[in-house]
Amino acid sequence: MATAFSIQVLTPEGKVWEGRATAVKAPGAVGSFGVLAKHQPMVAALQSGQLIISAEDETRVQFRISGGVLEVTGYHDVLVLADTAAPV
Amino acid sequence: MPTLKDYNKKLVSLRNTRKMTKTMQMVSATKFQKAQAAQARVVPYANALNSMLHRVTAAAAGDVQLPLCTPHAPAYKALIIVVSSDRGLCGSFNHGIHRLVAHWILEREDRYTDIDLVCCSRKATSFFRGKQEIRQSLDGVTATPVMTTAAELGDEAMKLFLDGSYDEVYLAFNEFINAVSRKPRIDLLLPASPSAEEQQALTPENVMIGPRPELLFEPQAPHLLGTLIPLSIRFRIFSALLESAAGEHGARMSAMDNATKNSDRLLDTYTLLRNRVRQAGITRELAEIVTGAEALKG
Repeated sequence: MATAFSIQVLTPEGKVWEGRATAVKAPGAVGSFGVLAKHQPMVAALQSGQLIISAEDETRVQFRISGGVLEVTGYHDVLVLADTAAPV
Repeated sequence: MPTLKDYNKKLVSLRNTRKMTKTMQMVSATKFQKAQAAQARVVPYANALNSMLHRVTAAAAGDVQLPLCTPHAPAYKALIIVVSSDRGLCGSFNHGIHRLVAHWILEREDRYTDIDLVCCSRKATSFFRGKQEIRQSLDGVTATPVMTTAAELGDEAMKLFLDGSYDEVYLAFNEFINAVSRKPRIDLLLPASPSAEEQQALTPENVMIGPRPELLFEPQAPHLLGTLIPLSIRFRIFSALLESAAGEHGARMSAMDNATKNSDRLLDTYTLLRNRVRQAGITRELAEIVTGAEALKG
């Protein structure tokens, strides 16, 4: 069982998603990348595209985001800020 | 001298007015609560964005040479984004901000060759029409703001700033203080200053989680600011729209509350006057009957 970490997806209009996930795939400004648990703290710019969250309960959550930033804070949390995030 | 009928008519119309103002007050109260809830939903995003800006700016360590942050010297052309409301009946809400903008323009007319406006509301458009060049006027975006509007406004402003159409972009809106008070203000939006954003973020909790050496930046911090600053510009416009919306509904609520109280006072006064006239009529009729009876007796 992969280690889970908590993730929040925030837009100015409110919290879009919050929960525990085992992996996140994000459309980075310099290329798509994935984040697993215990990732080094990082701030990454995102371009518009699909944000894919593999939730702890083995479901997949997808959002279409219009650019933003992803931050890995500490060794446990991922924070995604985007202007808009629409579930796919 | 008004007759009993005149007073009754007046009272009916007053009662109708009161019903209307009371309803508007209640509707505004609901909208006000919704606007405040929308403001509360913004808080986590605002905190996260500010602390991130703070950390990235600190890591970039003054090495910021983004076109969005570079002042054009000398500044000739300014663009003001004016946020007021589409509808009236909200006291001094619109007037206050329009007057501030007009005054601001008057003070700086010799500094700029052009001061153009983007009016985000019907009232602003009608106030400034013919007085000032209106570049764009929007309608129906202030009562319940959505992020897409703010993003479009922000992108357009950044585009105009970058292609040199304007040297400075300002944002004029009513800052929300509480349900009954607001403060009209004009903020400089572009050129963006990362240091100002940084100061905003200097709350104790943000300082504690300040720059950490092992933090990865993707791309490098100065480039990363190129993503963060447009994000914060769009967000500042959105939060201005939200403050303005909360202010507008609050202003209308209190204006309508006052109007209802006034109607109540007038209703009391006119009821008293009507009763006086009615009583005078009764007394007169009684007097006539008594005189008539006396005459018959005699």
